[in-house]
Amino acid sequence: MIYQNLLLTKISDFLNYNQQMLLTLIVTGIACSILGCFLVLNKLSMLTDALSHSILLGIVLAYFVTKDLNSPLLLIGAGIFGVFTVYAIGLLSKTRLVKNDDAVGIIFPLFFSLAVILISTFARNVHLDTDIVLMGQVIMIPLNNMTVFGVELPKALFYMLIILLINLIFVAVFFKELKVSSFDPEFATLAGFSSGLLFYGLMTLTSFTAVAAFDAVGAILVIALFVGPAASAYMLTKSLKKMLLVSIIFSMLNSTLGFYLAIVLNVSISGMIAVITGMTTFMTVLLNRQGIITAIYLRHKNRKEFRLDLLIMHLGNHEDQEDAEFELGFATIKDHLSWERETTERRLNRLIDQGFVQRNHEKKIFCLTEKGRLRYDMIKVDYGM
Amino acid sequence: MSENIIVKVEDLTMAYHDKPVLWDNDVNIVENSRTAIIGPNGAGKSTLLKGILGLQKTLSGTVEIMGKSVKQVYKKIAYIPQSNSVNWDFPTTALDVVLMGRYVHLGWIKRPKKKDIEIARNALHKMGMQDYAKRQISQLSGGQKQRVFIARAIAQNAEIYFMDEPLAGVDKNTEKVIIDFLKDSQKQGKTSIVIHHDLNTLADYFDHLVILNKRIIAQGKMSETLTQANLDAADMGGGFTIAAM
Ligand SMILES: Nc1ncnc2c1ncn2[C@@H]1O[C@H](COP(=O)(O)OP(=O)(O)O)[C@@H](O)[C@H]1O
Ligand SMILES: [Mg+2]
Repeated sequence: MIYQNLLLTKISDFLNYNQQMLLTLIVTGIACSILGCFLVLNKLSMLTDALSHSILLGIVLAYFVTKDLNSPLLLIGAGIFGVFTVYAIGLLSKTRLVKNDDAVGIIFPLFFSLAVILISTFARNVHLDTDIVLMGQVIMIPLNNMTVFGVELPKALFYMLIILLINLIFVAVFFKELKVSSFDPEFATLAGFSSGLLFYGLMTLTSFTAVAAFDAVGAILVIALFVGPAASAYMLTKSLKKMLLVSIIFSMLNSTLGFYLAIVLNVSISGMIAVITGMTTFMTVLLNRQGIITAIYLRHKNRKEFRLDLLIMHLGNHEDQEDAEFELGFATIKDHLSWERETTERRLNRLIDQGFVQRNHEKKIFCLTEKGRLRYDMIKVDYGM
Repeated sequence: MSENIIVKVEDLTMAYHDKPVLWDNDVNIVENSRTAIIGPNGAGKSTLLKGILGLQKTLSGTVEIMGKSVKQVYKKIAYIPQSNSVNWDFPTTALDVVLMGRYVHLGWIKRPKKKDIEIARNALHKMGMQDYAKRQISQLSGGQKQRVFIARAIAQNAEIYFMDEPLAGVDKNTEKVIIDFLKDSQKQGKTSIVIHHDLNTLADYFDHLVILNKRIIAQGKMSETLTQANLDAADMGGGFTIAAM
């Protein structure tokens, strides 16, 4: 007994039940969102929807074979079935009978309804109820423990840690390949990176991740975890690495916030996290670099910048000409651009502050600095002149 | 002077959903030429390029590039797709896209090295885009996007350029930069095959011509191929006369 206690590290000695649940949720969220980024970039978000539902059929079929609801074979069966779903969708859209999206739309209700029919016909008395399928059993996570390498920890946490590790390795190793084939698949194919191979690699991992996550948090949250943080990050970032990072941050925030709100309000944890995920995604739609609020702000800012550009253009255009001394005096600039006296002063001062323009006190004119010249050339390219 | 054929296409037939788009076409592209492909909308120009490059299934026909299959010489081929065929909202920068030109030589898993980044920067510079290296690609104008694509091909250091309407929707400045690039590449012994839509500039910009309308109507030297009869045969004669050039 004493030996055992010395050797066995129990995660429950460090984390209480709530913390164990939250940790599992966070790990699950991260595992989903790093793959989710590539799904969003490949416009495959629909596919996760299909997967999370058709997996149910996989679980049912595996149950008929194993007759045991707790068997790990159930998860493996479902994972394989998920991969099969993706292949089926791929094949169906390859026949060019239907478009890719339609293929998803055909396969997924078919498999889902098959599963429901099978459950209701043959497995009535089996404890596979729809609430659990949709919402998962987050509360049960700390009660289902296992021991690995002398550490006792929740099963779900262990599975999700393994999956997270595999996903991280996959994305890290094939980062460049995933990037080029998501951005320009034809170029990638021609450059020797078979996009089919990458696609099925990605989908196989998605499938197994979905199955493991599905077991822990339910179908609804799986979709939210895959798509929400990735979609938010997509709208906010300008590099793929940042997108991955931001999606992870979003995912952790959503899980933490949703979890504690659910506890306070005493509602479904999965459901609450899904709601929060939906809300943060919606917020980024409003606030992102192409979003509505940003657009209003940018229009205002652009208009300001455009006027400064105009001033630089005027100075640049006339600088080398013979009439320079005439055109670059304060009064002429003001008249030429038909601005108010104060406005012209303010804008000239701003450009002087920014180091684009300098005052030539002798000749009483304004001219561009070195930096201003560079900016002038860039503006010309920008406006296609 | 005998001309070497660098791209040899025989009996190429292609279809979408069993609807034939290209019928039994033989195409010969002369080495070190600047070849334009013209044809009315929906003539199958883009499809032809994809068929040659193995990006789209063919029903019949053979393609040889430098006497070999595309798979054997893919490193020497740069393809610049129609600008709207990629997702310009993709979270990446101009420099990063150009760097993809180096991936061809890196192969699987290996990361770009300092040297690759330098090559990519130089390619951007050649296109006058050095100031935009760190810009998100969605914030580039149409002309700038096209320059980034061309810089990617430069970074790849290919021998043959396949371009699908590189001048569509670009500003005059960019048009000149691209054509200068094609002429410069020709001096370095390279070959370009470019889908073009402007008959007015055709003879200025290119020296060889392929006229396509589901079938090859005519191909060869510009001066011999660009005739009113050929344009009429391709349904492109309407309102346009050779004399007007
Ligand atoms: N992916 C596709 N699926 C079905 N039909 C297509 C597809 N791409 C092109 N087509 C059809 O093939 C024909 C040739 O297209 P395309 O090669 O793009 O012509 P072009 O580039 O000369 O304008 C058109 O009739 C077009 O509608
Ligand atoms: Mg086309």
